[in-house]
Amino acid sequence: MEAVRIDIVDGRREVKDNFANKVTDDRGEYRLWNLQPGSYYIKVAGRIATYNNSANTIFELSQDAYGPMYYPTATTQDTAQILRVEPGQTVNANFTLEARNAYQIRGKVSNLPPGRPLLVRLLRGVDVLGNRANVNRDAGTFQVADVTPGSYILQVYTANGSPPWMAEVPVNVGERDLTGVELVMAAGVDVHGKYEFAGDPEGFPLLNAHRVDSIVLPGTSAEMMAMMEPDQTGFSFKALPPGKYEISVSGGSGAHYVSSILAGTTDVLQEGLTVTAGGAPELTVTLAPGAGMLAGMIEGGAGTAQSRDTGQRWTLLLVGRRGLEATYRTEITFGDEFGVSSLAPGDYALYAWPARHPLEFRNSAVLASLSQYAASVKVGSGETKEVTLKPIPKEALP
Amino acid sequence: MIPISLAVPLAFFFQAQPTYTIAGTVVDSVTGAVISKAIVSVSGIAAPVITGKDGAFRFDGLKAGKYQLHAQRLGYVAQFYAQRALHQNLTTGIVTGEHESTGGIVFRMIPSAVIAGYVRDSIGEPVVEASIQVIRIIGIGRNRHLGTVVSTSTDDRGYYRVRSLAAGNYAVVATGRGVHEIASVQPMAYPVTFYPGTTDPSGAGFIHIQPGEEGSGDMTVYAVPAMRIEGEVPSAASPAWSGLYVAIMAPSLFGNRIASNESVNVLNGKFTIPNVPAGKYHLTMMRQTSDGQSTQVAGGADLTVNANPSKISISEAPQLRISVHLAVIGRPKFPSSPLQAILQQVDVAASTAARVGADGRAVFSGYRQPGRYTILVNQGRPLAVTALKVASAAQSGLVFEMPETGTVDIEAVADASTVDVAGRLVRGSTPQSGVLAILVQRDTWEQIGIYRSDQSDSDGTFAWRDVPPGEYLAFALEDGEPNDYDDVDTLRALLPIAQPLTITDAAVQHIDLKLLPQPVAK
Repeated sequence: MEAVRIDIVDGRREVKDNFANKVTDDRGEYRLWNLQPGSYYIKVAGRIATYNNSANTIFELSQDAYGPMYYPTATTQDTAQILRVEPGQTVNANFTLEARNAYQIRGKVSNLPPGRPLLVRLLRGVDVLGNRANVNRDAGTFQVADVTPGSYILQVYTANGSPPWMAEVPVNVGERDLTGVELVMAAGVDVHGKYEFAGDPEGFPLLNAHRVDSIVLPGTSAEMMAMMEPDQTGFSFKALPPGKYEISVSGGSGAHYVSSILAGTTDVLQEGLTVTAGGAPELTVTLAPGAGMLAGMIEGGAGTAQSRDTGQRWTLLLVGRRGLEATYRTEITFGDEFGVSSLAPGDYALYAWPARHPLEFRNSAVLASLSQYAASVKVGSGETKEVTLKPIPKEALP
Repeated sequence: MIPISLAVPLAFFFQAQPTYTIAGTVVDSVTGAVISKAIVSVSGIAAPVITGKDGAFRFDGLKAGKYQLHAQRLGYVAQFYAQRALHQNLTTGIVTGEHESTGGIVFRMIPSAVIAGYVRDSIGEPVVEASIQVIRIIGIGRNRHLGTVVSTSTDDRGYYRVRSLAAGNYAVVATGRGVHEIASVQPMAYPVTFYPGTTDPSGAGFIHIQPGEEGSGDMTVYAVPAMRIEGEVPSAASPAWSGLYVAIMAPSLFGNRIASNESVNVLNGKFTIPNVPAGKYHLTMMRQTSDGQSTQVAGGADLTVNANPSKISISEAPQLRISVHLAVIGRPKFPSSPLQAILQQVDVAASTAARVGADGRAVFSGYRQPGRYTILVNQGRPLAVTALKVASAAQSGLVFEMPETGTVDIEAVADASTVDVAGRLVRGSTPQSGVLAILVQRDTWEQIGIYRSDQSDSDGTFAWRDVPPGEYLAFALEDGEPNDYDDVDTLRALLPIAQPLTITDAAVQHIDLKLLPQPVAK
């Protein structure tokens, strides 16, 4: 049994798989204790080997399997019930499971990184399934057991060390063992980039890459920050595993804004960055002069300005648009006054709420429900706009 | 065309060898209900069988011979067919062949048992994350010793649960000096505590569980002040001493100490052990040599921790040297295996081995606990010690009293010539399967105990391997396991059904052992 913790990080729902785990006892009971208060999915992750025998013998037998399943009866997180655990509370989450025939996936993996231990796992969307699995480095073979029929992503990856190596392939398992699956491992790649600008920016923005097409590998991070080159003419992302990434920017000088980020001819801000085993095109970040600025104040609930001495911290969200894609930028304010610089000219919707409340603002449905609290503002090239903003009331925050 | 004179021999040559079947049903040994999804395997056969709803298994195409049948399933102890002592490999083999009936075997699987309970403190509050050891007790009487240990810890309710246990007797111990250190003005901690709630091992209770049962192991631990031990080793005050350390152990259970897993180095002849729960302990002084081995260099000291600090001085023990001169007669079965002399403490399960050199000598030096000892010999297999002569120590038969200091010279004779004894267990004239066949030495059974044991197979046969020629007593026993009988008083009560045996030096011998009614216990 696993507790999958749900946190909101930078407007995204992030799940920490296997936040806590326990095995059911002989009565089928489990107890996940010492949990931090918060929101969780509870998942039946799979079955561990409980027989007094070698793993090879267990793998040779095709038996039944359970799950994975989220409380109460969901097969994916989308339809699972979120359990909220308050301090000191005990929450009951009983499951009824149906045994299904289980099969094996067997195959070979090549181009192994020398001397690095490997792990194999099965994913279904963002779910890590708790299958019994092993990799034989010497033979380059792997075996995954307890697989019920369905579609999955099979991943082989380095257990630790740097850079991370991985390989993944979609698999479909029917009512029989799946054999002959082949994967070729590849290391994370460095992606380089440069800044292009007119004038003197007096500072360069920081770039972050967020993996969007799969869950992160153990030992790696969902967020990767680009490292500035020593001469500050460029930057690079180190050891990005192949996959698709969303690139965001923060910081920079007040007078310039990021007008585009291109990977070859691909507009990365709209289409994301695709990294393959062979690498990715060099990124070009174009900084244009004429950045705008927003300055303003956040009003109290009673219509009066908050005292600047209250120590209240607010999250200020600016939602812009680039083509069909929304852009998000957040700033944390200390007190009720704020100033946001390096804005690209354009239309923005502004929101504010208490900084300690995690809001899933990248979820369009969540923002839509709060649209009445948005303030609209248009920022021209080189313009400083003054705005007064009312915060989202506490009772309206999801 | 093949000439007729050759046809018959050729036909015989190409005739298929007969094959046999092992088949049967897996059932619950307590309820008798059939067990589905049991994984049943036969030795030498690659593919196991999973029983269906009828609990049935079947292995066809087997050659004539003897096979081991094994079953495993969640909720049951993995076991061989008719296995009695689940910590020993005594089983009933299935013999296939002409006239052997192996098609209706009933494999009675023993349900695994559970011990569970709550650990609470003196005011009934749960003790969270207490380290718990559930220890199987093996043997009876003075031969009791500790067997398999399963470790777990309590949850936020102070609850622990250990499953998949075989039936038997168990001790439960909350161990570790840091069982639950409690923050308070006066540092407090929980000492090593034996179920149901005593720090005195002589007062420890044992939990007896039958197959499939749940035994209650609720226990209470009492917080005591945590104190500091300050010690000195006067003989090690010189900086030249190195590798010296002190290990702290809780009181022992059946001579086996429950280690507290704590040891501290001795520096400049001094050592400090913090946060020790008040109570009684035994400290031993060890030295780690350059090759990573540890040897005990002092008898240690018993210390009652009741003051802060509690002071102790440990002196290195006077040197004791035990020299064994060994003569081996007969032809060893494994001549290339190293010849070892083993110094065995008779009253507790403790022994030390030393290699016998080319001169026939093995030397044991360093500290030895006072008590009764004997010498055993091993060269790939145990050899029979037929004579022992001990100088500078009191001796009775093959057992001698260890002095505190000095030199003990021992002359020992071991007989390497051994034979295999094949037997058949019968009741009247009918072979009996699954019966224990136990062999003891006629003249030394009170010191050595059970010498060989086996369990009869489906055709009533059994085997004792590597038995030196000599005079013996044999017993056939239907119930229990060998450890149940490895006790002087128990064996003495069985003497009326002992069957005298003379084992000669013939390479293989056959005997018939009768299953007789056991004397009624008084």
